[in-house]
Amino acid sequence: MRLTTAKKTEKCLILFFEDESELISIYHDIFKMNGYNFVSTNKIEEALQITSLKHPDIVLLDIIIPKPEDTMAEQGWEYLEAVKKDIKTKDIPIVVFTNLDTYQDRAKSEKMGAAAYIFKRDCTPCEVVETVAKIIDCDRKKKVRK
Amino acid sequence: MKNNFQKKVIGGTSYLNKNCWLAKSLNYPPYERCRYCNYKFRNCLFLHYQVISAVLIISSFSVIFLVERKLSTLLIMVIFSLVIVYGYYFNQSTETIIKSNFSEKKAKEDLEKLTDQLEDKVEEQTKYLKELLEMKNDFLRVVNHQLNTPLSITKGCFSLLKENIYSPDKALPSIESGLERLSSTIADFWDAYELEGERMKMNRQKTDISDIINRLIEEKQRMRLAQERKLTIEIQEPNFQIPLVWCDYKKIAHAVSNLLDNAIHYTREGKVTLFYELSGDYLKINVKDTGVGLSDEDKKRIFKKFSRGKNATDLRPDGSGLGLFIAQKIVEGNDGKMTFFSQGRDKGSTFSFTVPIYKSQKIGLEGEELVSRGKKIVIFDDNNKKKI
Repeated sequence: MRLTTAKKTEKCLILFFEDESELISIYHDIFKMNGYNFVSTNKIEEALQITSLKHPDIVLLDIIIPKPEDTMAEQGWEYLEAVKKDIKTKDIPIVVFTNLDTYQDRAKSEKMGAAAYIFKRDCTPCEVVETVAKIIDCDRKKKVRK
Repeated sequence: MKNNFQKKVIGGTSYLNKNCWLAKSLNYPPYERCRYCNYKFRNCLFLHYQVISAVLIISSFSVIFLVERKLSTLLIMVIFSLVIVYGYYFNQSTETIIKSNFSEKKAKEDLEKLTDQLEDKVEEQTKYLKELLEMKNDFLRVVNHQLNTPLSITKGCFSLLKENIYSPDKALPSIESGLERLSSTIADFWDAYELEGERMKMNRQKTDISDIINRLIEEKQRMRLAQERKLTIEIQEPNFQIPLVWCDYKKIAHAVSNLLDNAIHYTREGKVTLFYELSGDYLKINVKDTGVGLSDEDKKRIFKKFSRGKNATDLRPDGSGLGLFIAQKIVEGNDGKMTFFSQGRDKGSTFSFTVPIYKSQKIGLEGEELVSRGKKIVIFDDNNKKKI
């Protein structure tokens, strides 16, 4: 089943910075099904490399990505900060896609320049695809206006 | 040592005022009150009294003698009696005053010291409470994340199944594993919570551990992951009779199960071997694998809560990072010790723990029947707890 909002997004590239293999598999399937190019990684260096080289249309960003020395490392923030600092990548819309749901995390995401905040647990994959399509659409319109 | 020191301080029984020329020369305090004094000899009030009295007596006698040309024996006796009686009471009253002054001063000092100590204690406690609060917040953040993750996988798959995007064949295994992960994460959190505060009571008894282990090995051989990876899971039979041990067999079985699970998850190919050793009054149980091994970084934090190995996310995405923490606490709760050995990355690892050999230990308070978790139904019949 394809979602109507995703029709115009044939060649969009989505970067999914995530460590949960099950979630990667679900979102890989649903995005591919809706005609997106989908790439995922659980390594920050790789994510930053893909961002600067391939310039994805949107990034779905998990916050807690474990490091060898810290299993609850919040590498998502590091990634967001690095992308927003770089003049070449700062306009890429980044959607914080996490299982943390505190006011502080939401406020931090907004302050750091995220385009949206999705609480994983309460959103179905279809809702995520719709939100992503809307954000890409808005972003494109914004760029055309500029 | 401390008492000796206290005796030598001012007010103590062996105190000698080194400032006083007289006390120092005599090498003992001439009067009882000298124990409470740290003045110089020339500042001693009693000395002043004695000197002034002597001067006054001599001058009075001289004046009387000069005026009357004689000294009456009666007068001499009266004056000496007065001086002696007055001196006695003066001595007594000065001693009382000095003692009470000293006690007051000491009480003040003690109070100040106590106040300082209390302030330090309050500060320390506040710091500790702040740390606890921080730990609680961190813990809740971890709990929140670790529970929401399997829930989001389950809900995601379920919604795709409902929308007919996923077939039941594709969605159901993920939903099942998500639910399984959810329930084991909750169980792990609760175990870790109970074990950390040592609230989990050990119900130790005479146990045939080999029987429990044999059953566990059979169970693990049937694990899907072990079969997919074609792992050999075996027990290396010892060349000695496996002794009975003294432990809480349910908890120890949980610890062995955690070690075997870990070994299976972190071994891509090869085998997992369980073998026994005797070590003094203990039976040593070792779980050896041919898996990813442990890096130096892993070794430093291996038994910490929520700690997972370098390859953990690739090999065991569902791990809560509590398995080894729980196993170690259980082993320690049964008077054993847990150790590990690995020559490095990709060189396999061996996790071992000891458990006391049964030597007619008696069931004490810890052996009392307790209402344990893990039972599906517990019926409370008046005051008697029955487990089903």
